[in-house]
Amino acid sequence: MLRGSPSSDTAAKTGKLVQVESYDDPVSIALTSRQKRDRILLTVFLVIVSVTAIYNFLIAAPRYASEFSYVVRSATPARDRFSFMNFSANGESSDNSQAIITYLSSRDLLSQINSDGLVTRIFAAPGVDMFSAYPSIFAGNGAEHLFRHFQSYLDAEYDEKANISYVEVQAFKPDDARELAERMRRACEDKINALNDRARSGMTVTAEKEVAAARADLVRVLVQLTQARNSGHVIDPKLQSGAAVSLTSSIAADLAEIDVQIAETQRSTPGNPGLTQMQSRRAAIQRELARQSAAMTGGHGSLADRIQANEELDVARAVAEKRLLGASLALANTRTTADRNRLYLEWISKPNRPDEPLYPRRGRNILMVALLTLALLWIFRSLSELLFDADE
Amino acid sequence: MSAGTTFLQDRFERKARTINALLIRELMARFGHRNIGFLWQVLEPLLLTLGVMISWSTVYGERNHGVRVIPLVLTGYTFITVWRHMNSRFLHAFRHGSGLLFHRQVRPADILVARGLLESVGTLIAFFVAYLPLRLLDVIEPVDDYLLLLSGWSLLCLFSFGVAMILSALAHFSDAFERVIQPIMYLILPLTGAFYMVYWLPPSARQIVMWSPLVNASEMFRAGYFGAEVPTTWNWPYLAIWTIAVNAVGWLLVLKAQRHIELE
Repeated sequence: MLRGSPSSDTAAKTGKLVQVESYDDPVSIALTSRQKRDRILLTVFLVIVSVTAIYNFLIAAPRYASEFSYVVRSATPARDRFSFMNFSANGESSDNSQAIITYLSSRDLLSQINSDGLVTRIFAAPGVDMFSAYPSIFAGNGAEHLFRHFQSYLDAEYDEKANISYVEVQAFKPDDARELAERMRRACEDKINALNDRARSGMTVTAEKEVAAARADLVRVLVQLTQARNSGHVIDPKLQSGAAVSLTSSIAADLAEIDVQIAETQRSTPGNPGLTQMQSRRAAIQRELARQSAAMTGGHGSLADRIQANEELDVARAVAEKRLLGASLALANTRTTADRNRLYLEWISKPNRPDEPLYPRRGRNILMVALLTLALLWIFRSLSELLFDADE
Repeated sequence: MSAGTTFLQDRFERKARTINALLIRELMARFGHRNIGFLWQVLEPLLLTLGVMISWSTVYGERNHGVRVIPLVLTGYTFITVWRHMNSRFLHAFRHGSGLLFHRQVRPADILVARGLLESVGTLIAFFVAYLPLRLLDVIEPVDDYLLLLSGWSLLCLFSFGVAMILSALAHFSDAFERVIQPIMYLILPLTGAFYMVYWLPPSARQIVMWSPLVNASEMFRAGYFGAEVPTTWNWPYLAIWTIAVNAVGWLLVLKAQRHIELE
């Protein structure tokens, strides 16, 4: 055991030495490896850049971009914008702009502008390259895939500082690009109107209910009034009572006149035979007077009795009229406020018809790919340099 | 070809051993054998995080802008630790490590790789060492999306590594640069995004800070932590392009500096 251990130790040492010596010349291996590596890296670089160039110049279908921009405005003056650490300095307008941008990149919008299959037709048209086409093996097949694919042809941005939104959409033909942009513009307009209607109906609904209730109340009172007139044989209590009062007072005047005549006749000719006739006339007048006043105020069935119900209804009518008037005013007020808060899209630029394909940006793409590849390969090369340098 | 492959394999194993040894040496140099040793690496950020947590919670209450302060500080502090430590440790790496170059297996760049690995992995461990007890005590919400959190973290580490390499190489070539770099690091502190969420800012400031790759990384990291509960914005291709760019430039400068050191 004791004798064996040094020998095995030497064997290990020799084994190791043999292993090291199996490189005939580490420096030359490192040198040739370096040259080989550099050739490989150069080839990789050239292949990547030329593939990018081939794609950009030969394969990629030219894309035309149509653009429009707008501001979301409301008639109310802008609020205090002097707020430094505020979340959204533009307040409500910013929220609404953000809402429209969200809508622009939603499935809702896509289904609206694709209602007659325009978007599908654009991507399925012949001449569209295999990476841009839909349906294809890259873009997939189905509504969700179309939605995702379409997003890379759409760029909607909201600049919070200037409060302007910019929308750019790309297609493979100038007219298609313009048509897409135009449809999106109309969809935005519809959306903002829908938002407005929603806000407006929310505000006015209570006022409208109040107006309807007041109107129903007034109608009910008027119907009751008509019924009361029919049943009490009274059309206008004022006129009627006026007529009755003037009739009574003229009868009373007649009575006074006949009293004067009787008194005069008795004084001048006490035995006048006309006196009897006069007295029977006076009695008749007196009876009539009593009957008239009874008709006016004499308890049940009299005019006063009958117009009482009428007068109550008159008061109720006045109240109902006032209520309706108040409710109508409130409704008008609410509508004015809603109109003042009404949002609208102010178009800064309308969709244009591009006359030149803006995309793909060939030079920029190739430059970016070349620089990135160069940087990545350089990092790789430096790391491998560390390995080759291990011990020299 | 097979000779080349075994050659590479052998070199790779050797390099791994070298870096591993450097990592351990770095740990020893920094924390020593006494006390709890390596645990300091994870406890250091934890203690600071806890201190900041306690003071913030007493000053601001539990909520600040709707984000719970403790996770905000935990993520922000962990984030800033990687960025600051990576940069400051790399700055003098060449000078401090010059003694190591006596060993012929050790190249100056290896020191950087070892330090970078130590900082990234160490701080991530520290994050979870702080996270686990707080989570178990139900003080903080669970991480929402680990994939996003770790992607953000990796991009941050790679980006910081690239920047730190550039700084270390430039500091090697110019002493004046070494002097001005500390004030510059303090000045760009607001651009790291560790102390705020982008959505707290007014729109005009938001646009400016989003140019900073670090803000993108911090938003990504926090998006992974908080999920949809907190609005976050980030652009990972932008961050990735920055990362690739600074790493490429960093390696270029570091290899140049390395050649320069060896000629001396």
